[in-house]
Amino acid sequence: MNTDPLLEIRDLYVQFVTDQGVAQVLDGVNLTVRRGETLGLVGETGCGKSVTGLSVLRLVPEPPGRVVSGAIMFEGQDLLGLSGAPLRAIRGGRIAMIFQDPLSSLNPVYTIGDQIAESIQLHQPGEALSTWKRVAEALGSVGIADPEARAHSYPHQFSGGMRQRGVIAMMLACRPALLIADEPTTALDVTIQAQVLRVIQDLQRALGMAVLLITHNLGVVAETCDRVAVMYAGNVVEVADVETLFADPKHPYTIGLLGAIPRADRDVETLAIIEGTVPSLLAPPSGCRFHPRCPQATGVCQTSKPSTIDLGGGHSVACHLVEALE
Amino acid sequence: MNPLLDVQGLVKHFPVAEGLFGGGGVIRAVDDVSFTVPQGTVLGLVGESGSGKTTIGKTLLRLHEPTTGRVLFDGVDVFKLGRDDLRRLRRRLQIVHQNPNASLHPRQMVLEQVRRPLVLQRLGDTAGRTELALQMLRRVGLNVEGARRYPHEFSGGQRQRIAIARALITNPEFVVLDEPTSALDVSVQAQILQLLRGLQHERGLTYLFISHDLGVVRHMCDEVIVLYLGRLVEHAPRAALFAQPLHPYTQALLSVVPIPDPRLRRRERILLAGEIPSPRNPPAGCRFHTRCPLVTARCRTEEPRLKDVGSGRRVACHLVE
Repeated sequence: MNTDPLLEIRDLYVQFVTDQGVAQVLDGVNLTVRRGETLGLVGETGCGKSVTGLSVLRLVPEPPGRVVSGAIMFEGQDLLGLSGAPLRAIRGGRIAMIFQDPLSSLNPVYTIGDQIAESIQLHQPGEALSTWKRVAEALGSVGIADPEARAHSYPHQFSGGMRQRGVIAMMLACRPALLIADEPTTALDVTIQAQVLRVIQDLQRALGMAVLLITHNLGVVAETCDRVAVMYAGNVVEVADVETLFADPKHPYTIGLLGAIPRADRDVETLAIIEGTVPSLLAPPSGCRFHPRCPQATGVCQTSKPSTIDLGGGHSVACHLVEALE
Repeated sequence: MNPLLDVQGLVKHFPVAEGLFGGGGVIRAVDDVSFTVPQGTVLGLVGESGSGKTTIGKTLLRLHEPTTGRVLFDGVDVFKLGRDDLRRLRRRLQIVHQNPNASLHPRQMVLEQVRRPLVLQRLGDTAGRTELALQMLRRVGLNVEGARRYPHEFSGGQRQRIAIARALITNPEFVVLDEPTSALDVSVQAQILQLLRGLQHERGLTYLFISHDLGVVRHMCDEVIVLYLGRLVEHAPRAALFAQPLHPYTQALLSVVPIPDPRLRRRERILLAGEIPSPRNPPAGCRFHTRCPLVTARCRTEEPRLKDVGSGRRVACHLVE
């Protein structure tokens, strides 16, 4: 793996216009995905992790969504400036995306094989015969037994885990440079989750593809990611390589989140409690958006938004307390 | 110590309606499950989709009628009770569901809903019920002002607090917690688990804790039952189960739970092949044999008996003596 940026999200601001007002959903997000790496994007409901993923492929519905400012650089071009054919060539071609519910990506009245074939024909047209060979290869590569026969199955004839693998086969048949996976295993049982994660990792290695893994599950992050970005209320609050993030988290939110997980591998007498609830993005807190829940908040946290401090070794954090210690 | 709950040979089969595209037959959701829950303890029921864990919880309360089996609650045969006696029993036996959005009424004030079980049980007068409901809401972390609001004005975690308040207002001795935190974020889950533990200690409650999350089960339970396709495959005290799982399914399950520690990434995992079979047509012999890495010829034909292996442990596997 090298450290070349493949995808760079710069200072991205996204709003959603609602009946109750304007929600500041992304509040200056900066994020880099390097070639061939797996970056975990973690956070709780409403933190903006999914909107960040959708923004990359310009899938945020407008309206109610609106990109206010920022840039999303991918292979030398700003995706925010694209539309029409060039954008469609990127979607499903250079960048693929899978979602929590595989049925949202599958058409119920076409066979799995037809849908994979369509994706291949769209991005890499060739002879029908060789396309079908690639369909079977793709299904085989995600561990579906008897792929030639199963290509003729309809989505409802697959189980949940098989559907998700079918979607992965469809997305990866075009050998994208980046896969955005938004909670790909959240709806699956744990033994099936293990299978699907293994498939994603194996294909990533085989294709040299980068993965942006969006998840709320810190266990999945620890097991599969190279680096991690933690989001809270529309901000990236901490970025580090996976070992550093779990061993030496700096942001009070990251520390709280890691301490709140009940562990299957050891006894935890008391879980860390982050008091209060996630703020409304219609009227986000001033200064640091985490300050109303932060056990260590000071005056400056209420008034000024912390800038991102580079701690070296690729570890960065947006927190006034860490800045004061530096 | 006498068990508060004694479940004997519980079976629940759901008939499948005949339809244009076939149907008929039964879904064997729960097959011959027996266990006891001692007073003041927490028993965990874990398993994946189709394991029957939720069906067991609901059948105990007769939210489903059992196919066969017997449940004794404090010596009372629950399945023999008539309507009035059953209603009276529900004061002592309550349930909290996974999804508070489905269990709370969208157009009824929170106070009204928390008070409702007292009305149904004909306990106290209006003023007393209101006072008790407000007390209960305060205990779960909501203020008086919140009591006058409606469920949609609250977050998911707060709604689950309301559902807990409603379940506990009749001062039950036994509560079925059916995936109470599965729909919640991890920080909110920690708050709710802490609340449930606190309430258990204060009131000496007995819980049946249903979950697919082995971390949550380890945190909350004294004993654990592992289910697979309607069958009880392993039952053990918490420490023993997590230190030394005996059933190959439990071993595989524990090995693939994602652990939030990258240093453990290279640990050995038992990746099960294949899908979870349908409970409508469970495999012959041991129901786990289609996915078991240690399967033998005997497993394909003969269903293993649940054996007592000492130290309060039971296992249903031909390979465990």
